[in-house]
Amino acid sequence: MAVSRDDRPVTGTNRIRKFPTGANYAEVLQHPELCFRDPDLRHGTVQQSAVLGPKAISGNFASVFSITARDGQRYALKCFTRDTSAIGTRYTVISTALRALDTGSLSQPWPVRFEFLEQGVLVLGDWFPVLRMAWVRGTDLISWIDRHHHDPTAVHTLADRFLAMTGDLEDNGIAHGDLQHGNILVAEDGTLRLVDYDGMYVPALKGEVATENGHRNYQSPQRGAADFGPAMDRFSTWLIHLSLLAVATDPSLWNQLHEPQGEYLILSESDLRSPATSLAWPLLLGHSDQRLRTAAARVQGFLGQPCSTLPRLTADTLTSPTSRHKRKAGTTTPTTTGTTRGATDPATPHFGTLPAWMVDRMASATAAAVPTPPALAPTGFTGRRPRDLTAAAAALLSTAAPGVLSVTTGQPEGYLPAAQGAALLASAAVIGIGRRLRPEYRTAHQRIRELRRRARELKDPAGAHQRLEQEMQKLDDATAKEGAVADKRIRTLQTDLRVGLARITMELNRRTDQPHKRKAELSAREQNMIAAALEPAVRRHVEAKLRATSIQEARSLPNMGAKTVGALMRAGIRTAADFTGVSYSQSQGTGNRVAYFIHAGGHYIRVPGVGEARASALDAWRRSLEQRARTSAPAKLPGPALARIRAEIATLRARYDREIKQAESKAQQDRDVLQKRITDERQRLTADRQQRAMETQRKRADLLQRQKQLSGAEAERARMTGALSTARTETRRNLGVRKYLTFLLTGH
Amino acid sequence: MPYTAEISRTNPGCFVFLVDQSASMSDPMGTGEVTQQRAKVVSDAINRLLTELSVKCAKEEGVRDYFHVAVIGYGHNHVGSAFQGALAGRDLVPLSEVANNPARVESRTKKVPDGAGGLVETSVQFPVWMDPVINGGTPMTRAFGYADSLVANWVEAHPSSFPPIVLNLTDGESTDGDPTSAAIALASHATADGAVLLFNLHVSGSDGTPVTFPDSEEGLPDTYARLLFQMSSVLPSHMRSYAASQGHRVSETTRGFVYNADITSIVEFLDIGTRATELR
Repeated sequence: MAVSRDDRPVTGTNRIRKFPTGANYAEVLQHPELCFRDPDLRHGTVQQSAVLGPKAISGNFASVFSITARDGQRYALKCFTRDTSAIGTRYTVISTALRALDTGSLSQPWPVRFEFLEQGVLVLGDWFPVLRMAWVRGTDLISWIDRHHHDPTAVHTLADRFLAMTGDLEDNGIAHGDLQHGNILVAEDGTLRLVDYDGMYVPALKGEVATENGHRNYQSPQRGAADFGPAMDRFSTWLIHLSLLAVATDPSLWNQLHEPQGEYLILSESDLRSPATSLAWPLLLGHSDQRLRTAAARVQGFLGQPCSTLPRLTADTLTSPTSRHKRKAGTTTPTTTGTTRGATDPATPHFGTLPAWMVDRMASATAAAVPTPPALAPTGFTGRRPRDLTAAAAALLSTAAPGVLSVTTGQPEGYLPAAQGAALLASAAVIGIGRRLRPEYRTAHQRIRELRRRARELKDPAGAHQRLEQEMQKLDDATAKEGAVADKRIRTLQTDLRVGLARITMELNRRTDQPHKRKAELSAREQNMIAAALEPAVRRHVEAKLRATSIQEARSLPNMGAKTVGALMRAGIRTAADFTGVSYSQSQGTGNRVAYFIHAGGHYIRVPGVGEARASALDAWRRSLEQRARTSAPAKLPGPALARIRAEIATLRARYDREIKQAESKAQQDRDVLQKRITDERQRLTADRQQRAMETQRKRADLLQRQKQLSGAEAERARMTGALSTARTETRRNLGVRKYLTFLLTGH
Repeated sequence: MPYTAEISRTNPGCFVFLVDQSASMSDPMGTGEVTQQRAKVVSDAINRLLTELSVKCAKEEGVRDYFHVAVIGYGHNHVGSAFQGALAGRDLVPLSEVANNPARVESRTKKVPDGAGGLVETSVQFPVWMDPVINGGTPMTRAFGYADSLVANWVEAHPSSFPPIVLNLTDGESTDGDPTSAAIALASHATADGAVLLFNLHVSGSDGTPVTFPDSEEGLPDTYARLLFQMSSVLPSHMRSYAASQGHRVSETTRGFVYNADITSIVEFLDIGTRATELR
């Protein structure tokens, strides 16, 4: 049995050393003057939490505390809660490697200096190592993106900095081992700091093994301890870069894919492990931005590849040469990035909520592309349609009808003029309606309305400008609001899917639990059945053997004379088969124990002269005979009997297998249905979003154009008034009632 | 693979502590030269576990809700929340609330090594969420039933989470019948990630050798210990690795059972964030 004492941390020569817990450290740090040897720390001030004393920031292997020395220098003190193999040696090697870096050649000051103190902190009488580092002021990656995802320029710049930092690592043969949001800090100037070097690889550690496998939401499913080496960051590097690129390209992706409080950027472990059921991949792989699509496909392709074979992330591996060129321009002059990016593809509608900078660019591009409506004068009616002919016929008929009626029905004379007047009115109306229904007339009128509106706008350009501004604001707000709702819905679909799949698994486990258990018991059950089937034959065999052993043979036992054997025979015990055991009872008189032989028939026999000692010797003799007989007993069932049992077991096994299989296929069906429902919903939402974004852009472009036309209002107004009166005259001249009548009759 | 679900704020875990508050818990238990009441040992263990969990889940901005935590006491005529202070009467509470609301923070005097071979008396702050309570029988079966309903609801609401961990701290002498079937029922609740883990901490007056995470009942001092051992769940593989890394000898049948020893280390068995390699 494994027993161990664990009252307190054990030190000594054991390879394994139990380290204090986070709370142990938090307790001793209440008295820095007692637990530290280092003078800076001894006299330092430990940052406190509101309630629980020294404030810890904990990871899976350590808790970090903040201590400010008397000279104002603030330190991060890392206290280890798990013994990682040869922690001190590793840190010394890592420290040497980092100090050897030529800081001038680095893209940014990402390394954080640290000092490994072997006798760092005293806990329960033992010294434990600590890592003393300068406190890094910075924001972790998730908080930073939360704050900046609406600023694509900033996110792009960060992605470039990340690329540069990982480039520094690669150039020096270093790998961090646990690249993730918590270990990448963004300093105030926007450059990056890399913290937590527990799992770091430097060339001098070649041949060692990993102590950790990195954060589950950032690592390739293929990563294992053997991947400890210069290439171990490759997957997480690509993944983080893809995430930054995605957010920079389409900020709404952050809202759609990053769950608030989720410990990942936009892709999590389940997306990496089961891309087929992921909702995130389709959004990235089907994105309207080609560069993002390509990058996503690339990273998805890495999922099945061994980590060591992944390529290094470099600017050149990222994109095609042309778009890279544009990116470069953006990088060097961040202020113009928006322009460059926005102008790349104005014709392709973006499917996310458009970032402000992009809407502007796209709208003006669209506005410029749409020419001012040409001042085409209406040229007259062309092409009679059945409707026109119907109108003509109706007019003709209604004019003639009253006369015809009065003739045929004998109406009074006075009826005719009144009826004829009404009929004329009716035909005028029919012609009027016919004319108005003509597309030429409608176009001309719409144009007049439009011109009137513009004329009105031009009367008060400032007011109109403001009204348009408000309209645009309203449009933007509405779009943003709708977008946010859709984003949230897309995000919650991921939760729905996760929870739904979990429920299906739970149900599957419930249904297969029993059959699995029963199946596991089958081989034991088979053995029992065989044993039970053999039992009669074994009993007969043992019985025969015992029967064949005369009680005379018991004379070989010590203290067993002819007299005793004679008494046994007289009592009916002639062979070893004549009794099955011995029983004792306390004698009332003497207090001695009295022995009884249990006859094969079940009754008890007392044999004079056979006391406890002899009886138990005889019992043991009989039992050893039985034992021996059993070993020679038939051990194999006759073929047919064995086959029967095997068949029975096989039937049971098949039944359990069937039950399990049924449950599994039911679960698979349920999964497919759920997956389809969620995927359809996701597609619908995405399509709606895309549709709405296009609509908004169109409306916005329209409003922008109107706003643009307001400049130079005076000249425009004069032009507009002229255009308006021309349009009216033209319309009257070319599309008047007379023209229509002529058109109706002649077709010209 | 079971017991591998991420523990995060979006996929939190669940701890239910069951605390024996029966009269027998007033008996002393020896820990070296100091003798303490069992009830005191157990309430201290709970208070330390809650501190440990809070520190483990503390980040820059404060304690994160990686877990929902209940502390249920069971004694005479009462099975229910053992929280005192602001949390009194509440069952499952998000960890950040637990961390921010101890009933009080005590100042305890403690002798600590001064690093130069001597001892020095000092005071340490000790957050307290529950005090020892001693009252009547040991309705362990009812306590398991109470935990059962808490866990059943929680599992229903968190189907993809790491399964709840129920830790029972007791001197072992159930007075409302054999709790085995209630324990089996409790441990049969499951999320998609696996069944409930039921662990037991047995505090006893008998002077047995402390035992931590045994893999068989051989060598356990009494029938109560053996019964509790049988009810305890086998440690999932990654917890076994952690137990091994803390110097415990483990095997495939190692169970979450501790006899007269510290169980605070169980908190270290929980993976949050970065994964350790399976075995070193």
